[in-house]
Amino acid sequence: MGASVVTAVGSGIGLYYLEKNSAHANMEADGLHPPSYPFPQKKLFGTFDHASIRRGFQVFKEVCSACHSLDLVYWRNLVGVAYSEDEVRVMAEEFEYTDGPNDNGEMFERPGKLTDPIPRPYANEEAARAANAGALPPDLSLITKARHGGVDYIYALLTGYCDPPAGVEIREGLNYNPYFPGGSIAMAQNIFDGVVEFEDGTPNTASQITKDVVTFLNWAAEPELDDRKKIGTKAILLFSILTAISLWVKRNRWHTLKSRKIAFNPPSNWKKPNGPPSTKH
Amino acid sequence: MVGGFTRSLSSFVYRNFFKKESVYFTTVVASGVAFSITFNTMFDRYWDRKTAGTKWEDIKGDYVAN
Repeated sequence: MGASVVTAVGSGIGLYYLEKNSAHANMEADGLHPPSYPFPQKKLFGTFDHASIRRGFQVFKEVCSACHSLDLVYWRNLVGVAYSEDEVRVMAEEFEYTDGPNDNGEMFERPGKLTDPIPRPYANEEAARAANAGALPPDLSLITKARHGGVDYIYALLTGYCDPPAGVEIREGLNYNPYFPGGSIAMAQNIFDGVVEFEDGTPNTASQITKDVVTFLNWAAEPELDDRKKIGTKAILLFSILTAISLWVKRNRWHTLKSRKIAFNPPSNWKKPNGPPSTKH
Repeated sequence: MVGGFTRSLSSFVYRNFFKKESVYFTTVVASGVAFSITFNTMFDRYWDRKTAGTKWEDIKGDYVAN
């Protein structure tokens, strides 16, 4: 029996290892697996670095918002997270929003308010595709949750542009990126050393810029992360204590029953049976 | 001490807190409230110490004109 268990478990482990480390001719279609970067919010009890979120929003505004929308994030979402209310008001007022109709039935333009969404670069998908040679820059509000690999994938993608290996032809207009499934991505590299100047003096290397914008995008997709981890830690702590108490109370209430002894005092006219029944057949 | 032979702390607790349902219920609710306040205050202080320097509250001093 031991040999069959070992065979079953061993082959299970072996097949799992082979599946995880499989090599096949079409691995380019999956995209290169990104490494695991030490983002603080990835740890079990880790939370966001809000200074990084602030820098990341600056990067998004100056570099990414030219092509990518962030429809699900509103100016008010930034208040108390990366900017003060006054700062956000000033930033929102830089943009024009269509509002109305007014009393004459006309739509009019007005400066942005806290309740407005982060402005879109293109009015609709068709305009976006027309301006980008047929490719649609995806909305980035949920991108770290919407891509396998999450923050690691986005970081690797943004920093992973390189020359294609020998023999690989990339169509005119596309760029080679090993992390992108298929290898040919429409977006060119946009993040280089010094492309953004940080107001808090953080050195603006390409990796720092990418790290900050990825942290910002992670916040945009999971704004509740800080609270979720805090409440979750409290819950784990409380439920562990309550479980320990429950186990003790159960064993305490049951111990009389579990340690009782049953004694058999035969009556005086008890006829002893013929002995224990035979087990041999 | 309350009248009656107090054999132990558990006897005292039983006679004064567990026998009458009204007292029992009040004790449970009151200790729940007290535990909740204490636990939350202590945990929040620990959590704020653990995440010091990363939250908006920690960096807003540089950006808010007070």
